[in-house]
Amino acid sequence: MADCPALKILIADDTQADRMILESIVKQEGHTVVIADDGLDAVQKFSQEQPDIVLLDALMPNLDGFGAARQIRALAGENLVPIIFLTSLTDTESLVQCLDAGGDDFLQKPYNRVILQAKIKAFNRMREMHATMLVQRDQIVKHNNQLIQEQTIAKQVFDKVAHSGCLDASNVKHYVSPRAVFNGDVLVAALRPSGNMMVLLGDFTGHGLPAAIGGMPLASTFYGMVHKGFALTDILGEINAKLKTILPTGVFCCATFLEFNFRERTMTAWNGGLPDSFIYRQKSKTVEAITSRHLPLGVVPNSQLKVDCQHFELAVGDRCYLWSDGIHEARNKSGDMFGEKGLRAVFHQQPPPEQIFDEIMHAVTNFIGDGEVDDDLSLVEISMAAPDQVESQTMPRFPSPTPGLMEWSLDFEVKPSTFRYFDPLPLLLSVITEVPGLRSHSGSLYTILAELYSNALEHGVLNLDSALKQSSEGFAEYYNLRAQRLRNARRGYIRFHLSHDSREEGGRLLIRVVDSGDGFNHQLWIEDQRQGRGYSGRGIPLIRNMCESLHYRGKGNEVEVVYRWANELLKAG
Amino acid sequence: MNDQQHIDPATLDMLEEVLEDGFIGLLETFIDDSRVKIVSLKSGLADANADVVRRSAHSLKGSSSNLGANPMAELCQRVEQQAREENLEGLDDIVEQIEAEYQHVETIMKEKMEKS
Repeated sequence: MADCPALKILIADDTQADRMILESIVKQEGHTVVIADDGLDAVQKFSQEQPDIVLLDALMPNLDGFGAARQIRALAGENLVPIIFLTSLTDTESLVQCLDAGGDDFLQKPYNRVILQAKIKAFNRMREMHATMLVQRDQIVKHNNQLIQEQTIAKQVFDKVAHSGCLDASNVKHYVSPRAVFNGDVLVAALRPSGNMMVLLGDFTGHGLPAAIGGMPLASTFYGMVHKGFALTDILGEINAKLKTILPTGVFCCATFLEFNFRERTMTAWNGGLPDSFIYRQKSKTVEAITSRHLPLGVVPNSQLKVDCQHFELAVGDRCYLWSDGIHEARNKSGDMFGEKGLRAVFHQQPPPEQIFDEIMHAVTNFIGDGEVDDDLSLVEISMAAPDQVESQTMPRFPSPTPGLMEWSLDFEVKPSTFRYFDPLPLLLSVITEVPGLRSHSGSLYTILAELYSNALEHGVLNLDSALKQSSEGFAEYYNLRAQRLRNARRGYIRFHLSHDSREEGGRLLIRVVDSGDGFNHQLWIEDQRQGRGYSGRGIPLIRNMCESLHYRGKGNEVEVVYRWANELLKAG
Repeated sequence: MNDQQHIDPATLDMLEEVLEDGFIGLLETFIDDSRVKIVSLKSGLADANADVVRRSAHSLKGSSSNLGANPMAELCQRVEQQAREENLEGLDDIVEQIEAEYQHVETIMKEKMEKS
């Protein structure tokens, strides 16, 4: 018949007359027949000929039909080979035996041609469906393996880009599950040249690759800018602009961005769309929330982006906790969510502070229990620590062996239209750190440049009196005046002159800063310093400690420092 | 008893149609096989070997039903059933009836072979 292709059919029966009848009926349908006259013969013929369908007499000498069926099933493996028992339907017990042995159907004597043809056709359809299913299953397995392999490679690349910062620092604990990466969670942390630590946890909308891919530009922008000393607000703006440009509508990044100043024990926070982060105060054992006050990144253009931050004073040992919504949305077997309630419960039990991180992980894992394991968790803890307690593998930046700037000088002047809005320090620092040996000094150099620049701008060009900063009211007034005068500045300049000599054992960097201001009585000021009467401000003692020399010149609007450095590669060798 | 009571003619017609040239061979095979099976049935009974009786009766039952020799198949069914229960009592009588019935079947088949 047209709808049933020619099959190879094994007929096993010890009664020759019955075999002949069956053989004739089957052949008439255009199928090929393989004959066996007992159970052992049937098994042997099966493995030799690999027939499509097996017709098996139950009662045969040597090996009966049940035993033969079991062996044939084992030989067939995952291929579907229908086995039809040739038996009378009168004996229930042997019918059960047939089914137990792996029989699919029965054919009763006397043989009926129409029924046999119908059965062969039906079982052939089943065979074909099964074969199709096996092919498709193998394809799915293949595709799945390929997907896993691709994800593994993608994750390696992602980890190199995203997790190359200072997440290993001694005051940081973090957990980002592999699944979370592919659901769009990204965690980055790095140290600014000043020693401040910046941490950003982002959660892109959506799932899978589309969600994960935005993490790459975010991470590379973050690391590029943090190392160069850009401010938090600048970095936020740059990331927002980049994401807004590249992400399709509806894809954006909820994020919390923290900056820790270990010297001043302060923390600056910006939260756009992530669940409340927590600050755990060690002394009072209380929790303070850092609530989202902004739109996520990549939603609005920079002109509408709000970058105002919250400021917190922290004590050494206080801890900040960031998490994406994976923890909040973790579900137990009955479908309840862990929620902020679950998080607060952990803090409420007041575990020892150093165990809070692990307690949160335990609590979430226990809560999920036998429930569906989403494994979509991101958690990070950053402790406030003394500056010298923050240790990271990424901190000692040894000079790169590649050649760079050696002997050079640079004159650079900024005028009001520039200094009103633009911080020139990252630019200068990036030039300086082109000297291979100076990269590891970027922290000190940033501090020196920052002090000299702010002195020149605030006391020189803007003519602000640093004495104002001695009281807290004066402090506020100082900053009001600063903003006002900066806005109105139309004249003035700040000139940098940098020159560098390089030798094998190290080098010498000269920094001269000249401003357009009136200067100050620096001889008197130095005399005061010497006699212990020095007033605060100008950060001069700090710079003096870092530099080989510091000199004021002219009327005090010109300052020159010499920074000497030794080649750390030589030291290390 | 006429022929139709011993063999269902429709079954034989169907077989002739299906087997075509093989039909005579089928009848010859059936006759050879049945003779052997009846001998083993009787010797099994003489040895009181229920398993041999059961297997022989089962085989005869199957082939005779396939060839439309329904009264013979029914007798074999009774013997097989009793032998499975290991009760050989009174089977001599039934086996004698099987042999007699078979003689009819063989005669009819031989006539058929000569006609073809």
